Amino acid sequence: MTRRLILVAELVALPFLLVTVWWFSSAGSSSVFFPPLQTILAALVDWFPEGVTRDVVPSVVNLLAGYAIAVTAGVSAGMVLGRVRALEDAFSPIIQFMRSIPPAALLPFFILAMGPTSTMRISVIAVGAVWPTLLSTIDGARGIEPALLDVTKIYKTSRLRRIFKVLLPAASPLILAGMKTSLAFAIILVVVSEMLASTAGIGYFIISSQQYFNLPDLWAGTIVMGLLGYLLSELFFFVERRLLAWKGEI
Amino acid sequence: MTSFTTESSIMDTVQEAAPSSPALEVSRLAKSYGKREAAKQVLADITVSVARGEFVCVVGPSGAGKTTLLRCLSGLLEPTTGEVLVNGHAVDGPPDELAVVFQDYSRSLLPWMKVAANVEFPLLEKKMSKAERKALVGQMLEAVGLTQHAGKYPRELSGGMQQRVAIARALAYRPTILLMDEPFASLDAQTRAELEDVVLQLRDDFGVTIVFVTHDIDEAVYLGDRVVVLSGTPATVSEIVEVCFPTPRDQVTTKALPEFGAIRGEVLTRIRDAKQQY
Ligand SMILES: Nc1ncnc2c1ncn2[C@@H]1O[C@H](COP(=O)(O)OP(=O)(O)OP(=O)(O)O)[C@@H](O)[C@H]1O
Ligand SMILES: [Mg+2]
Repeated sequence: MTRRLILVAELVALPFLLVTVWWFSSAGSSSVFFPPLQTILAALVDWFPEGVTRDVVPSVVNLLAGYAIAVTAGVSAGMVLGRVRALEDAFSPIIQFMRSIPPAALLPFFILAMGPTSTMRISVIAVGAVWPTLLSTIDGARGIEPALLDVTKIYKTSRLRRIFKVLLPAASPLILAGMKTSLAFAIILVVVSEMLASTAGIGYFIISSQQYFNLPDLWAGTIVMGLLGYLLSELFFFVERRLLAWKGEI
Repeated sequence: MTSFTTESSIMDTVQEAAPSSPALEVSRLAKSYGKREAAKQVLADITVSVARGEFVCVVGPSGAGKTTLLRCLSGLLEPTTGEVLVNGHAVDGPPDELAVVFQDYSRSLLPWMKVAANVEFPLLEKKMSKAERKALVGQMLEAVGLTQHAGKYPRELSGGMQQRVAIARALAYRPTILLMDEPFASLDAQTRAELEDVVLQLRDDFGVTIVFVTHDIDEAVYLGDRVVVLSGTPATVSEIVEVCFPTPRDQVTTKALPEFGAIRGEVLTRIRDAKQQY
């Protein structure tokens, strides 16, 4: 009961308090950089609804598509590399090098190679966000309890069942930890990818507001991006808690 | 290889074998770990055979190679030389009609599956309807006294209960041969005695051939029809002791028989002799 109360306080009361403080402390602000919250919210309302279809939808679509590709590729490659020692040894140096490149540094090349398309943005997100999931999955797959593999051998577990009922669940705590970092990468990359060579998206809205020195719009875009990120990570925690319910302590 | 084992295929395998062939036949088995200079021989020249429905206990000091022997019998490990026959057929990978209760049972349960799902897991590969599977799982949980806990995760159970899940899972698979590796090692005396009787009862009910590894000489003498003493480096069969108590056995009366003390003493002496030899 008290835990639930604390949770409600955290989720509702604290943000509400902060917004209220922001509202009143910024009310009479004449600063160009920190306009009153009221002005920002008015800009936000102005942006709706066509801003949602023009900017928010493409951003969310690119983000989810890029993230889905990153996760699918990272988990499948990671499971194979983590289970086959020779492959991991062969690929490990390349992987270590690739993941050391800041993903945003890839953007100029992708723009040249693929043009200012959403395929390009999805590719940047996928290539930039794949590494944490890949590396973490390799660790997870490598650490699978050998006794469980013996069990699948003794009981002649079919290949698909072994993958989906034994190997993936066994690696899932680390896979999910990697996916969480990949999600953060993807959220950064969707904004960055829309700040260059773009005509739509939340990132574009923020950068064009900056170019027109439209601070209320700039803040409005930033708030929307923050809310989107918050929503996605909450959703992630929700799914993770369900998937790892068997572990108990989280 | 994906093989769907059915009840009938198990029966076929059993019938194919000459009726007189023992359940398990180990001939001149040796096992080394590592290669060439680094090779370490663990088992040497093991020859033993186990009749159908027999209960054979394997005792020996820690590190003797009991687990290694069991892994060779189960087809999880390839012997360096020698051969293992199960129901008259050479073992090359785990045979269909064999199940194992592993030494680290808690690690051999699938922690993301509840108890009932763990017991059902090996049945998913058999051609059984969902209803048949459910019925069999229910029956096995009943047999090991875990009906109440079917809906719990393994981590919510005590060590003894987890062990029973592992046993129920092995038996649900309906093996004709069951290998058990120190299954009761970490249990308290009370639970241990209880589970010993559960296993004896299950042997009588299902006619399973059992090879049972243990540290505990009392346990070996109480359970086994024969006790195989494994010792030395590399380990060999230093003695096979026949145990000839009447069945059914009973924790109190069997252990009070004068023969019990005599056989127990004999096994102990053999182990001590074997130790001095090396
Ligand atoms: N995979 C392996 N690689 C190399 N050596 C091993 C391996 N497994 C076991 N050994 C060695 O083989 C010997 C026998 O091990 P094994 O596990 O079979 O003994 P055990 O009789 O089952 O012991 P315990 O009673 O403690 O379970 C030990 O000296 C061990 O160090
Ligand atoms: Mg052992």
